[in-house]
Amino acid sequence: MVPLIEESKPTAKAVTCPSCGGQVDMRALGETVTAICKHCDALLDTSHDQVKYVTRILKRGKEGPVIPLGARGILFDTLWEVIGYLERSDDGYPWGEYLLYHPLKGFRWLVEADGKWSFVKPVKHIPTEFRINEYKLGNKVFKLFHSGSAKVEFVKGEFYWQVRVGDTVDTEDYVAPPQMLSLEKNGNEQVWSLGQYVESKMIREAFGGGALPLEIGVAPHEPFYMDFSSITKIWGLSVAMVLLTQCAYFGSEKKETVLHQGFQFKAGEPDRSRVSDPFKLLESNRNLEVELRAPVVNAWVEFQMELVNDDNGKTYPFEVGVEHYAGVTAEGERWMEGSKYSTALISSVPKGNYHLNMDVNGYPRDFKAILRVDSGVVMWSNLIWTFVLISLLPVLALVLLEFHNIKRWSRSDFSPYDTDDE
Amino acid sequence: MRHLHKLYILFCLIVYAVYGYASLTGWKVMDSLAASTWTPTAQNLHHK
Repeated sequence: MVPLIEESKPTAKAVTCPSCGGQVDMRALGETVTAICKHCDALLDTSHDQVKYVTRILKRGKEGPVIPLGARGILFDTLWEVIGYLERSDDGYPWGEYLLYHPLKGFRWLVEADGKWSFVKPVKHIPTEFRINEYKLGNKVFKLFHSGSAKVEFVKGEFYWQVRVGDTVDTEDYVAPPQMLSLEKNGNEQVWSLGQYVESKMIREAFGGGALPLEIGVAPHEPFYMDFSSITKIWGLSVAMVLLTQCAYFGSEKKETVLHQGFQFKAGEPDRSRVSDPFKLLESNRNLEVELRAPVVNAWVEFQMELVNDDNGKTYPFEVGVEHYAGVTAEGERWMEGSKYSTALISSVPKGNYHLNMDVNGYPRDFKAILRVDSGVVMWSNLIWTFVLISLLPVLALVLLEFHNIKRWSRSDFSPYDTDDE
Repeated sequence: MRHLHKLYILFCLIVYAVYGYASLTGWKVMDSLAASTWTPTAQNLHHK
């Protein structure tokens, strides 16, 4: 933190107003050239030893500064003192500007509009024109947000230039959140400044707990309230991890058919249960996919099954069934629904010797069902739901970011979201 | 909201852990979540 020099002592010096004789506190005497008498609102020229009366401030702001002159606060690790305040407007839209001073760092501005705050400093290097309505400063491209004028409506305190109510300059604002590049043009003179968006909470913490203006809408350079960049990076990293794991899983899994057997069923037979040939699983924790194929016609058939571990007698019951219907519509169109094959999956099956018991329901005709049991089946569905789940927040953030940007540009004549060609 | 990404990291780690476990054990998660297509696993089956 850079403290004010001799911050424990009062820094204000007083001059006498030649208009009313009142004492006017000067906080940056020698650095500033004008001051406003707090007693009679006279504009004073303080650039010489002999203070001169210039004119009277005719118009007062409605609310005045919410941060009192002389208030000190730490912003960006520097202790700043408020020495001046002015209100400006553009076509009836007002905003306030606080002049901050530090003996070593010089002047900065704290700008408040619609309850949104910016910390503004002069630009050392003149921005370069990048494209139409775009300027580049460093590696950052700023887009034109507003072009208009700024008229001084009210002044209070002291300033480093001759400021008068009614002074008007042309302005252009370019934005690249959280920064705003501003150009003020007065004749041949051009002044660039760079504003950094500051949350009002930070202003309240810096300058005390006074009531600050209510925040309205979204500032032109207000950053998105989610850390979208971090969310995107986390998403990318997660997708990479999942894909790598899927590749490793795909490489390690070897699909192996452990049973492929047909079963004949007769119409009207009383016992429709069957037992499969035994089969062996050589590795633990692998899944089993049981595929049933049955040539049913306009019917269904269901197999109540049990996977039985012959080594310890444990059984794993499950069901698998098929149904298939087909026909011709009144218009002569063929239709079909269902399928003549179906699968069931059993995961994490321990190694050992197994067989299948089955009991058949439905389809009381002659038919032959084919059962195939595969071990170590690669599942892509897990990859898909994982991808969907980890993408939920980025997609939501992307939608909200779009809404934020639409709102942010809503008061601009140069909005990229404005599709009205008129 | 600015710290939402920390919760998101936790969420991704949990999802990744479930996915990793499912890959190791051959568990088809969606089948277990959908009651109509529930399939048994060696862990959750009623052993006779």
